[in-house]
Amino acid sequence: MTSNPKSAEPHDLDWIIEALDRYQGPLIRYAQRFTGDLELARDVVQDSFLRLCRADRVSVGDQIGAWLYTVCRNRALDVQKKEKLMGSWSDVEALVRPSADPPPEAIAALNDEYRGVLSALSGLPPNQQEVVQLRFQGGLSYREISEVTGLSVSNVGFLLHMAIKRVREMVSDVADLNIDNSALGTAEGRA
Amino acid sequence: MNEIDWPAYSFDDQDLTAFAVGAAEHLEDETRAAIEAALKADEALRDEFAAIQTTATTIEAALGAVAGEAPALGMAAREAVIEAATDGEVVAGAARPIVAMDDRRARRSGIDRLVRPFAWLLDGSALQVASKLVGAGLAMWLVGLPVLRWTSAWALYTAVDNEIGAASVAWLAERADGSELESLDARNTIDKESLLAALEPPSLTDLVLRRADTGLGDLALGSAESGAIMEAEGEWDASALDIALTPTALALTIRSTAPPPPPGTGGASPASVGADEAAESFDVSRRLAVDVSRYSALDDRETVGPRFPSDAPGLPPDFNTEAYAEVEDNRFQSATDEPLSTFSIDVDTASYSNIRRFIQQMGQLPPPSAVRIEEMINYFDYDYSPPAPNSETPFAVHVEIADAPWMPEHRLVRIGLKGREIERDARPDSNLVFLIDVSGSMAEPNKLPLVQRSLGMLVEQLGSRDRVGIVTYAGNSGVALRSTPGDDSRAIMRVVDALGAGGSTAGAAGIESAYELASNGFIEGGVNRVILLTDGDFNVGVTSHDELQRIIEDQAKRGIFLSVLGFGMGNYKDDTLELLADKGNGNYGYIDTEAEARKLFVEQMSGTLVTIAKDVKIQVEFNPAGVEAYRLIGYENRMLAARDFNDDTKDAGEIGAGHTVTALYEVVPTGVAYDLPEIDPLRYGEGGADDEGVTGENRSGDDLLGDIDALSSNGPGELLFVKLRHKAPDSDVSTRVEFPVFDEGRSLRAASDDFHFAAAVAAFGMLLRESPHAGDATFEDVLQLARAGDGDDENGYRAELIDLIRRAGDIARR
Repeated sequence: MTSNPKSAEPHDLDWIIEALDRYQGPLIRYAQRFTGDLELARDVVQDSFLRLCRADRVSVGDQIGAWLYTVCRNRALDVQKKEKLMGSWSDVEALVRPSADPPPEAIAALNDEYRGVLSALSGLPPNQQEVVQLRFQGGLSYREISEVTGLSVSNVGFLLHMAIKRVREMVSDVADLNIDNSALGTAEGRA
Repeated sequence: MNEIDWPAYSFDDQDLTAFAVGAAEHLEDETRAAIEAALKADEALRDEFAAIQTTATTIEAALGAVAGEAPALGMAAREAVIEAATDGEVVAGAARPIVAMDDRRARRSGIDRLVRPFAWLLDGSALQVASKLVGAGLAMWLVGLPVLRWTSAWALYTAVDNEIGAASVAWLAERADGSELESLDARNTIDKESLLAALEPPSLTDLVLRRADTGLGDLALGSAESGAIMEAEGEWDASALDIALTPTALALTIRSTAPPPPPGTGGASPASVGADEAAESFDVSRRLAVDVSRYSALDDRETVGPRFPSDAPGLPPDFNTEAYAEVEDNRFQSATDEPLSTFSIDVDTASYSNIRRFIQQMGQLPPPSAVRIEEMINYFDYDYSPPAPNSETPFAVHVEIADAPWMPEHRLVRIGLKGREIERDARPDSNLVFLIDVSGSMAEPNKLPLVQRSLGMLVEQLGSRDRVGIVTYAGNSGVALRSTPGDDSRAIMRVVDALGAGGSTAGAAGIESAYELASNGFIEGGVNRVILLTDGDFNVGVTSHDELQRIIEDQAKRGIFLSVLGFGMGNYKDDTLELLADKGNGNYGYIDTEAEARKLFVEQMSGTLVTIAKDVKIQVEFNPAGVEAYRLIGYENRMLAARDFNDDTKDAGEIGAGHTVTALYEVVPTGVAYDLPEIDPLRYGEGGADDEGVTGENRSGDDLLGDIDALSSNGPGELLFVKLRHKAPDSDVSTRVEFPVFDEGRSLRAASDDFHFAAAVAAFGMLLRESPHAGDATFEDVLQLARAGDGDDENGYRAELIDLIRRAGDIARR
């Protein structure tokens, strides 16, 4: 075994920078869910990227999003725990735990449609919010979300389904709701 | 819609959503084909599909906009990252300090300090592996887990050898995979040889082991410097393992080894591929660790890396398939600033049975978050006299004050409630629906078979005035037994005995059928109750905690209560189950043995089935003249806001016939120092404005020992003022009872047996929870205390606790 550290080759720099640019914003928002605090979230994200630098690129492969979210989540939970900001991220606590809304200044800068969607999202249970964030900010597949969160794939599917359904209900009009109900009714009859 | 001819393979709403948001790669080909076919055939579905897509696109765009707004990493941080990417080193000074220290860690015992750094390292990685593998699919799980589990367990076992012993191994193994535990448990000892044989010395194990060995040596030397290095290395090693055990690395590992060698055959180790990566990462981390420790020597060490990373970087300890909500102990409150303490009663006992399972059956201490002290205390019956037969209040209240055993300068206040007893014959007619989880995970000896035996015991107690229905749920849920007279035990048991486990769980559909059955057979003025028997797996299907909760709350309002009885281990969702019972006005028990089933279904049947008062809340006002600070022991997840006390819409706990409920307050008398952060004294004195709106209350006369004027008297020794509210089971309006309590300065010696015993249970719980409030208490002290209070102990329950304390002490010493 060589004693030289395995590091990212110089030509990997682009890879890291690309990942930084693609993921740092979403990851900071994601970490903030857990830490509550922006600065702590940045610490967590920086640390996640430092870990990425030390990681073997081959082993990270094309799952870089899932990899970063996993490390970031673990670090954020770790920090959250140490900072005693809140309890664990378990389902039940998630029910009673206030959700981490996007910061007001970020919302103020958006158009009405986006603002409506975001306020609808902030009304969702935290576990749904998290899944939505992983899917739509992080672009992760269901399987990847399942790996990051430890939820089952079908649970991820369910949470995302419920989230989208509720956002629709909240932002769209009653007519849309009706379509929703009639169409959804059919899927009850499973083969 | 129903006239459409569905294809052979159908799909769920959520599959359609997945398809619409472009994340269908996890779906079966058949499912995708079914969706496509349905879309082609059904215009309404196409509209639905388009609407989902539109919503998804909007969400994505909105979230993208917010993320774009997110303040990025600072330049220094970005440079540190890029620099690390360029030369593989971290410039420690440029990196942001990671985490502040956690002061509680300093309180951990010596054994803890030795074990935990490795426990988290090994356990964290094993857990991570387990959870990832579960996500990655059952096949991978089956192949990968045993090896990694054994690897971790073996490494720890060898590393710590006799010091920690087999219990730790069992603990680790169980965390990685609960289902394996029984076989371990059956042997009750870990055969080192078989563990060794299970592994062709994989280099990953060597790696882990090497670290563990060195670390132990360092710590044993007690050298501050090596300790610091060790701490830092612990931190970085975790990351090395993190990296080595990423899903991809694992996938590689697992793919390279098919078919899997079963543990014990000594086949080629699948861990070896991942191990190379681990070793490489490990070398990096080692160098980094040295850098960091050098840095820490120069600078304030508190800001660099955790000292004892016992709080599990990687995954939190509750990343087990057993889930417990983490709850922090109630803190001391200043009686001047926060004179009111308000909480909901809780007659649940599940936590105690669960703790017993850990200690007795597994030979290990329970995870601290599985310990709920109030449930331990309330597991036991205390000798409180019931209310007078003509009393309007369905329960009696007893208060006793003496020295706090673990902190003699503090006082311990015990508030005890005793529910009215109901004779077996006087029990109201009962309409019971059992909702039984028959999913695959129930197919273990201590689950479904125990459910069957438990039901057998209950059915023997039922009579012709009772009705029993049974609903099962799994992949398919259905009514297994229509409402049947309770004395037709043959018909009931025929169904019970035929229950078999299989399929995945869809709890919501089952719960709806159960409620439907219960409401069809609703008995006016009787007991109407759905009793859920499960290991808590609600994961699959159209279900969310929110939805379940809503259904349960609605039904409780209509008079159908829900009780939850947890069974089994490994898959046990403690927090979920407690919440469900809580919302359903029901009790929550955990049945680990036939004896426990007998306690709940035979001895305490009336209490289990008949609720005599609901939404029972307690509010205690402390007199700052005598109380510096106070702390409610346990009930952490039952705390209410002061204003909720008088708010009848706020749900609270139920009390069953004959139940006792006990709450303990630890009180710091005035003049005794306590470690609350100083708050400036109030300029305008105490408010005491909370009790407005008391007028017109429905007070009950016979229990009214004093009235509100007593509070202002500040009489000598008047320590606190207790107020209770409750509702009749079928009422929406609460009744209030209140009285002042005086401290007669009783010593511990003069206190009752029950007081000793309840204090012992509380202290035991605090030790298990690693509570910072446990003072100097040891298991030995607790044992003495419990022995002093074992009283009559008709059923041997107290003797059992004494045995548990003794065992826990043994485990902690090992």
